[in-house]
Amino acid sequence: MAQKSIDTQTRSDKKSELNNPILSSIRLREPQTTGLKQRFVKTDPGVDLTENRLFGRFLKKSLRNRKFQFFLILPNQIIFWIVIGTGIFGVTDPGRNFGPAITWYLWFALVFVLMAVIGRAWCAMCPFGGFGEWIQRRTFFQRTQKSLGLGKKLPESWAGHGLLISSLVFVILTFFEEYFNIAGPGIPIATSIMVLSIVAFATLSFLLFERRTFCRYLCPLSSVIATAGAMGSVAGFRTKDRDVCLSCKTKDCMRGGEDGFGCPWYTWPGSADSNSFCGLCSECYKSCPSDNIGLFVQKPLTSVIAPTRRRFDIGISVAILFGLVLYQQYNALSWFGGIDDWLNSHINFPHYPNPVDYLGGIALAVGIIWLGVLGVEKLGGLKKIVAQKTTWFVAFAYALIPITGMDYFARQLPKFFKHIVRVPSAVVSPLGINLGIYKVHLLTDPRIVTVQVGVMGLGTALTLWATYRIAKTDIQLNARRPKAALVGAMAFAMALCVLASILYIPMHAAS
Amino acid sequence: MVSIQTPIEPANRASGAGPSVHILEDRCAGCQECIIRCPSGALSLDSEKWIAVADDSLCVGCRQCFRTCPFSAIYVEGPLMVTPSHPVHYEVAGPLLGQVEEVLPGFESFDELVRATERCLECPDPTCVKGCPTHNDIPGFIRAAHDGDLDRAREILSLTSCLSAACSRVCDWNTQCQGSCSWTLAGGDAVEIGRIERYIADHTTAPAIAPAAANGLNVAVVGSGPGGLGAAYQLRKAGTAVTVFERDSEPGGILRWGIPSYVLPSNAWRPTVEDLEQAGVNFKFNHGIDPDGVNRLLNDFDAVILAAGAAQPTMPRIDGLNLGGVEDATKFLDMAKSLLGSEDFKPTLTGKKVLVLGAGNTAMDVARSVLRLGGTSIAIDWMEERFARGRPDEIADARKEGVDVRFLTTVSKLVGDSSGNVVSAELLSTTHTSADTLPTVNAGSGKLVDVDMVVLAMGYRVEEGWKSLSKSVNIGAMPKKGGYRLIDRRWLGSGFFTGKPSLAALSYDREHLRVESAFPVNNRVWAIGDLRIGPSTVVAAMAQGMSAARGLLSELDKNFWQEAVSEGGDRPTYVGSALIVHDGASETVKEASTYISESLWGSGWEVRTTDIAHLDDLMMLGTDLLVFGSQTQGPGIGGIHPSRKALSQFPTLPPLYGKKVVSFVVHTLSAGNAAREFAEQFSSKGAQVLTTGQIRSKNLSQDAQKFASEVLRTLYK
Repeated sequence: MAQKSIDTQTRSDKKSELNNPILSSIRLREPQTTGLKQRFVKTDPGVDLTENRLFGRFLKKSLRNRKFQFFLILPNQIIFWIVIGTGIFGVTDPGRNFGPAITWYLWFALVFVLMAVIGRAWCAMCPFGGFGEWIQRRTFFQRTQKSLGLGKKLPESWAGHGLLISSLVFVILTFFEEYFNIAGPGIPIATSIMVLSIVAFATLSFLLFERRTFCRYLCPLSSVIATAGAMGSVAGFRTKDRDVCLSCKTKDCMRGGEDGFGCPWYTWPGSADSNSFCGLCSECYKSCPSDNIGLFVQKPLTSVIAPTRRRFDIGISVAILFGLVLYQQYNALSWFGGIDDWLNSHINFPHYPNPVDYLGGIALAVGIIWLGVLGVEKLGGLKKIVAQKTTWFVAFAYALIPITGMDYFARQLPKFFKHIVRVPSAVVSPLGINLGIYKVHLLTDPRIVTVQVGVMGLGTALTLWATYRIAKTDIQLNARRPKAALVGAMAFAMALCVLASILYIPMHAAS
Repeated sequence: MVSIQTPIEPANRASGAGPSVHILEDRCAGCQECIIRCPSGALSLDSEKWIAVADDSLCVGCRQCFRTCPFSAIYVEGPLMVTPSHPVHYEVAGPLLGQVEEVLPGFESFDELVRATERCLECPDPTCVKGCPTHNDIPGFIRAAHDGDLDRAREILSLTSCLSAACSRVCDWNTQCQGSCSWTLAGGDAVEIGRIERYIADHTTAPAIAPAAANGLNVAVVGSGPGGLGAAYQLRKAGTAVTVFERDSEPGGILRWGIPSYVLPSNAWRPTVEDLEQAGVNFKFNHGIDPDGVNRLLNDFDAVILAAGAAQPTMPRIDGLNLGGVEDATKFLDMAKSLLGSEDFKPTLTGKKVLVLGAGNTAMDVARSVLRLGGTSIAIDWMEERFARGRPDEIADARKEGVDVRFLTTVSKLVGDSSGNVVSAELLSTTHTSADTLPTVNAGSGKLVDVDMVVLAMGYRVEEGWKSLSKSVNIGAMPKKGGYRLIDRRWLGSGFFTGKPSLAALSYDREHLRVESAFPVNNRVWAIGDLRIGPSTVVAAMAQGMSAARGLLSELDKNFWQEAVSEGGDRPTYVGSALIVHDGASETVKEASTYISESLWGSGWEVRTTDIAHLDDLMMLGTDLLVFGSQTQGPGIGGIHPSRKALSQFPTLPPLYGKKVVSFVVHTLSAGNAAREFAEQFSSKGAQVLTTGQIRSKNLSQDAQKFASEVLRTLYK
């Protein structure tokens, strides 16, 4: 009963309105709601964790608390500075140094697990973004109304490329990582320098640009997490009732309110249809004046299969990332060494990796996917009504998200299984304690390969499922020969999955 | 990245030179903030992609979309599709001696008016209305004027203004409506809102004031300046018996004595007084009310609205102020007005050199009046011209007429002759580098200047006696800028703050003052205009007067707005309205508020709940019971207190005189003195605190319900 008195317009509300002459001069157009339900029916998740009977109340309380994200970031921030410190001042053996050990044996694998299961969980606790944001906001956790820095917007010409900048940064960073053998891991200080470079880049970006422009557009991991994270089962913060959002006069979730900042990720919970750009920071939850936002979970792969609005930048990023990981795979094969040497000697670049085959390999993969999709188009007969040639390419690239994500994860497994025990060793060794487990491997080749192929098998199954679902909605509808289009897409996806999976056998668990 | 080109005639769109809208697909969230506010309907939603799409052929280039987008996902390039504006610039025509006719012309013909109205975009979320201190429905009256229905236009104006003819002459449009016009925010020339309003006001008669049935209230208004007139107008319309006390023998206050006829002819405001008299407002002239007299008035009246202005001139600390020929601006302007207005006008200042101390708007009025009386004038101000308080257009007009306006100049002493009359003044130069600092006087730069008369026009302040009127409001002082809670997000949504942040902040400060004026400064006493905040503008005083009257009626007139609100009640057992405001610091306080709300609702109370951050102060008007809740913080070394948020936010509430308040704190182990400390905040604001409560979080529902019962018991006692 009381709720009714709050929700409905009461006499008192009318009185307030009559005392405010501004309101009678506002004649806003009606927001468009045609096709609203249909548009979001596939992507709206059904389960709101904040309404969970068991822990919903605690979750609400936590999310409402301004220290929520601070406490997620704090432990990682501490580890992060220890990584930098030990990398510079610690022992030179990378396997015995806490910095490179935790970064490359544990963290990189863990990030992929977080992506596959949750989504942008890492972004919520990331020390790079966290550090920059603390400085930008001039606080660790409070809602400040004035920020430090220039607060510029990323130029439209850049922002128009969406995730492509992040993909490019990832490609460049990976090149340098391979060049200096940072993640090998090589000398510990290399890891520290790389981490410090990223933190400097991030902090500078936070001081130059508004919100989390760095995280959304420039962070090297953004495109990886936005794509692979789409497999995740956490849909992120979404609207409970879209009509409330559309009629909201203030949009505190976007502009910032008393208790929360405007979405740092440029995402509106009222229209989010994937988890790709929800950084799980909970600012919208805090700022919504209508208590209309929940933390939702969804079925795995929903953000891969269901989105109506498929993004070209995500599609091309998936192709680039798939090309990059494939390159790293066949680069570990002995026969490819010959090609690399031949190239190095001919272009006077006496170092691994050769930029020509590195970038060429990525471009080749993108080209193959493009050509493959073109083949599917021929086979299925693309209806002329579809103006954009990229439509099928983008849709198909979405289907490759699971295999790409799993491929990155599988590639980390040898390091994890062979050397994860070095992490506790590195933690206690400065205290003079030797656990005697330095050379212990959790798994060795060929068991690692079996696990890798198993992971890739799971990726293949998920990709085939995604291809089937996406082909049913996005591809078949636009095909003159729907069955041929479906079969063609499935066969091409299968071929790419098998290629990526089979490479792990001759790689012999190379790390 | 907004590139603005010079405006082009809409007819030239065919040449392909129109604006183009760019939407960043990556960032556009489909929130439709731009779509619902686009004046030309150029934007719609792509329901497949759920992003905005633009039809460039409809775009007029006003950039409202750019300003309103929360994510900066849209921008516009190209020209403004609007016909050029032809604002009138003042040119001195003919001799000034004895001149009393209005110098700034209005539109000469209806056609000219229509051409000006055609430039209005009728923005769905008009920023000009926010810029206007009284919030005239500008697009509304412009549309009516455009359609030729001037009476309807005047009717719309009369909802928010009783001084249209005066405001449209003396308002500083550039820092109000026209400064916040969409075209101005887009870098173009504003719609000539001021002159349109003036044309409407000059060519129509204000709708007769038709008082509603007597509401039984008898209210005294002190002062018949713009604030007093605004209050009397609003009160009388609602059926209140109104008596206006004026210390002078004639009404009008500053409208009459403070603004020369060549700027504001008396026929621009006299009809308002006549209408009020005709509607039954009782004007008592030569009836000055001093601060001590307010209590006496309260014996005879249900409430008092004080609009006595700020009449005490600011005096410089220099020698020679008691010399003959030294006058204050009020006396001079009053004298000048009667001389210039008399049928046997004689130039009394011929050949006289008058030094005006100050270069604000009053100083310019003095200096220009000197010219009309045959003298020459020098106006000095120790500030840099950029930081000065006078309107740039008034200063420019004065200079055009021949006033020697000197900034960075001050006076150190006035020198008299043997008969005690001023003959010269020592002027010194100053240095002034920032608006935030005071100028410094350059020692040794003194020069004696011969003068025959000195007029003090350095501003006014409120007489000291009024300051004791309220314990919680600093009477006569402009509140600290930005002394409010979070900026209303509806204002941000309009794009005003993106388009012109400083003007938006100024307007928001004005709005804050207007809203605060609705709340009494003491029991049954409201204070408005210059008396409340120090020297301000005609329109701000009038708007505050109307706001105070609405506040008064909301509080004291049980039938006020009855017609409008009668449909809102669906409770046959309605006993009153309550507003629960909590600090929003925790879910527990929120939950406790819900329990209290349910209990009150069950007893016939209409209840609204909000956290302090989203509280619109106007929500408190007419509410019978205010319930404030806070979480406790501590225990620490400093003891247990209300939450930090409560301690920082609740003091920003307006004065709460006459309000019934109950407050509660929610605690885990012990509440310490938090409940008392919290309640004291409201007592210090003048509220009547009926009871306070302590609610244990582990026993939330029972304690909250118990507290609600206690509240009801106290209320019905």
